[in-house]
Amino acid sequence: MQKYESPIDTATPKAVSKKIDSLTLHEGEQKRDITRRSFLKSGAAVAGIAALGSSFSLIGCTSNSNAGEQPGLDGEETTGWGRCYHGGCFACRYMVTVRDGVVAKIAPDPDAPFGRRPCLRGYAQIQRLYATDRIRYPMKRVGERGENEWEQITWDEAIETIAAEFGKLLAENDSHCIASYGGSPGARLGSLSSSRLAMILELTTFDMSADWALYQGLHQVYGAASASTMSSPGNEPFEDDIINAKRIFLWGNNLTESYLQRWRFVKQAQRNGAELISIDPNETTTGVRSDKWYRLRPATDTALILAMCNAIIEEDLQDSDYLKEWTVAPYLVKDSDGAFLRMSDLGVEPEEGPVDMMTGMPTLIDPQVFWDEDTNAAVAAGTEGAKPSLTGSYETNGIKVTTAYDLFVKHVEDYTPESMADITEMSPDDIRDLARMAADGPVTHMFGLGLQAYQNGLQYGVALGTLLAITGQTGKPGAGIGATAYDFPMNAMWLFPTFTFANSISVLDVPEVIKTGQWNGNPYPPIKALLVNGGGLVGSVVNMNRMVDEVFKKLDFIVCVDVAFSDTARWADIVLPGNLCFESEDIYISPLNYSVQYWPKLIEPLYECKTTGEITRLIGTALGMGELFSYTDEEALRELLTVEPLISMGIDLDSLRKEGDMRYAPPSLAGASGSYPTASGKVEFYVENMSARLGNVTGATVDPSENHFAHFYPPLEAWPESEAQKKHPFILTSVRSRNRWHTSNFNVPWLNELDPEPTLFINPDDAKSNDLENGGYVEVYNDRGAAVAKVSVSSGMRPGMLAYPKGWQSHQYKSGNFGTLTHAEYDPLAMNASFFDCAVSIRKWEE
Amino acid sequence: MTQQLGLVIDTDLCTGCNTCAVACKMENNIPATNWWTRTLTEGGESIDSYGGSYGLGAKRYLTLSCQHCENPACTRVCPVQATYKDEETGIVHQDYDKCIGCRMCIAACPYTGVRNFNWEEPAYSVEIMTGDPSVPAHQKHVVEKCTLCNHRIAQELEPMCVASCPAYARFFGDLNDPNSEVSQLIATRESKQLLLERGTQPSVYFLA
Repeated sequence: MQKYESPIDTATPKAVSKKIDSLTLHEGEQKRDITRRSFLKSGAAVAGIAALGSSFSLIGCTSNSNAGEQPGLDGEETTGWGRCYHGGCFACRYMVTVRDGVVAKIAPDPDAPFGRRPCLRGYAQIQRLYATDRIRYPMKRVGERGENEWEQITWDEAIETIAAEFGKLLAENDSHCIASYGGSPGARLGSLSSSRLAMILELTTFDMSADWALYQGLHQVYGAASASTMSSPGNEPFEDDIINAKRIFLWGNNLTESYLQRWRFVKQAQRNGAELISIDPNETTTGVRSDKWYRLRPATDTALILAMCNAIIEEDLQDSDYLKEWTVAPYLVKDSDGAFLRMSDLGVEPEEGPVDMMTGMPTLIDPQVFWDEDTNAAVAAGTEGAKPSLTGSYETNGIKVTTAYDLFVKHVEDYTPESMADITEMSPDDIRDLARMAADGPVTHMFGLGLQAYQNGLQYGVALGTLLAITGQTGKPGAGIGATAYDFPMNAMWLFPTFTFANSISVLDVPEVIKTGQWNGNPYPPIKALLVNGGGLVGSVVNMNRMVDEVFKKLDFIVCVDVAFSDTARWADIVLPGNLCFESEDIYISPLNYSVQYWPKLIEPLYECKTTGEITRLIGTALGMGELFSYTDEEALRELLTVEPLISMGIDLDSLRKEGDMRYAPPSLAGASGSYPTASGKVEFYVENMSARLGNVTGATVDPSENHFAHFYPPLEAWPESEAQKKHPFILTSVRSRNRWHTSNFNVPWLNELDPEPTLFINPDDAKSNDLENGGYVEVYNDRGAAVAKVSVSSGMRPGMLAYPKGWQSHQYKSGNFGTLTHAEYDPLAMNASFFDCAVSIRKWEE
Repeated sequence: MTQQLGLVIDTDLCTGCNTCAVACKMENNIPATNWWTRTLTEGGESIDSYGGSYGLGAKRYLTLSCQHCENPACTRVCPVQATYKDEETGIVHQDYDKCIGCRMCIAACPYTGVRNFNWEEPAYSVEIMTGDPSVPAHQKHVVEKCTLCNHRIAQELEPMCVASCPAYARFFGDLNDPNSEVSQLIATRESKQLLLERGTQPSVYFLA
């Protein structure tokens, strides 16, 4: 029996290759490839993998040795491309030196796209790879679940156990009784095998439900390339376009810490004359460097934007041409039910359009209607030569109608800068200044994702889309949203070889679905087992205690593939050793910069680690579906890339091995064609039928009539009048750590030397009045949980607000975990975790 | 002295991310707990915190490593010339084989923390030798510090802290050459050196 904190390394690591597969080398790198015997210092022994095996020692302790005894000092040396991948990061390309089979050095690649240099996490990947606490072989739980006591087992035993448990469940129950969850690694094509398994078996999958509120709101207005992709109307490549901006609005966006790779381009734009406008309750590294910093009350950005729209209209600064041409502003809305007037209302039969791929039936074309100023009559929207009226109420065919724009003007009458001053805690003058600046483009808006991590977060997405529409800020250089993500092309059919599908349930709903046996208002099979493929299902979720108590403690059987003993892995029955980036060939189709990014395999997977593909094949085959799991990892990559437009652009595994990064879309101005991926093809800031992102446990819906326009309502907890704040007066928020990404890298020693333990930023006055000293400890608590952290007093914090750098695992805290404090309530439209909407109290903590 | 190699750091671009520190640690195989370059927060009382009051807070990052001074305090106090100024490049070197571990240099250096003393056999948190193999092996009971990556300079590469900076905030070159990029930056931008009053003439400049 072994405990995590005690040595687990009793076996000599088995598989560390001393050679790189020649296939993984690319031409550019071979040119500069230095294969040499390096200079051997002072007669030290040649280091080999034997030393690697024998020198691993106590977990968390450092071991003593001379550099000369360290593996990686000497030997055959080759270089190749490496990348990190932490869910949602840029996956920067860099050069990796493999010396005597050991990854020994990481250096910037001068030829990397946009001159991108890896951040500190890149250099630290060596330590993540060889971390003393890396999960090295399959293990089974020997204590109580969550006690973190493990025993090494063979791969054969692990797979047999999993197949027996899953096989039994599948034989006796609806297949949805097994759930599958893939975290950040899932965005790499090599990890998609686990999705394929979930589809074939028709499992339940868990949707992480983070960062979606803003995008779901924005998608209502500007559309989305696909329902599963977070997208926004911005110009590509960002790095080339941002220089054209006259102003850059940074909405709660501290990109110096959250998206460092974009910082120098923003700074370059500023030095070129662009004005940086930071809108943030707290002072940030980005805010300090901005030309102006506007402080607002947290969770009131929507109120601010609507007041800005009010001021823009009051001063006649709206872009009427854009509104008429590219948006639904002139469309007539029926007074009776808030639906768009359509030609069928005027007696014109809908025409048949193209066949819908999903239903196989022809679509019906029933155009919306606007008022033609020339003929003074209602005509089909888009009628050639017609002159749409932006304003007015009319009666046509006995139907009373008003333009969507007039309805919006009326809607924002309630949002005067004066009336929003108390809500936002900003002066009306400041709101008017921001309105004028937003209308004087080209303006690029960049947002952080904290401001949408409140119960009212979706409204910000709708509001920002509306501001873009009213000010006409898309379709030209330097305008739009500078945080683009687009759909990525991939042969998704590979995931559905049997044309069966998994059912996606939000993690926010999972405990309730298990408790009630209901989903979307219908009976749902009891979930009994879980297969986790990386990611912070425990460590990154809201209301962590609920997830542990009501899911992880309740299930019959839990398997977790991971690289280190994360909060999630610790709650498993069987842990399987996953692989890291340098250990397999892989591809990431990055929607962040329109490129397909390639990883060569630099070393064999260490120890007994296996790729997701291999693990899935073992499970699938053991479940008797060998014929569906007979592909190799390479064949899977080739299949997944076999899709347009990649085929016609010549992007396949062979070209990627040569080029490394290939852009799959030409530079473009978002929306310049005037066509948007919305139902009408126009910018729909009047939302006819607000749609929900996912189903929910009760099947609750929201009345569309209350959601035609962005509107402000207070968040659930982070509001002075809320029930929660009466009891717990502080608002707890998080900031991105520079060292971790979500929960990745929590166990990397170099990074933890720089930032050794959980910390909490607090305003000096708040610290003083709560008897807290800089460097002392504070307990943050509410009715759901508690966390202890080191106090960092900072005047950058807005009084009443607290912030913690995220990503620590429970065992790294003196007590508790910040994840236990947050609530899991949600807006059913957004189905999104409200990480910041969290009321807490604080008190001094002494050990 | 033909050259005075040095660094110019644009504090308006620097975000305090510590990439220079970690890249340096990797490149030079620096033992656990030693740092040859690190980031200080100029502002509040702890890392990343602001001084002043809410709304008027101030914060800036200073990355701190050996200043490779024109007039170093360390070389004058070293009894065995283990730390010395390179005639050709102006780099302040540390010769581990000569160092007797008296730590007089650490006491004399006004730039706290840039010199590390190995009280024990150098220890590593992960048993992999990282970085460039031509970096001299670390030794017990000696002082070690930033070499300005002289092993990279010999390969006509910039120091790792400069080459790795994701914000492109760091510049390297010959301060004695008026046409070098670093000299040009100092000539055209407002800059400061640390603890000038100590008379060390540091070769690291921070652009405002």
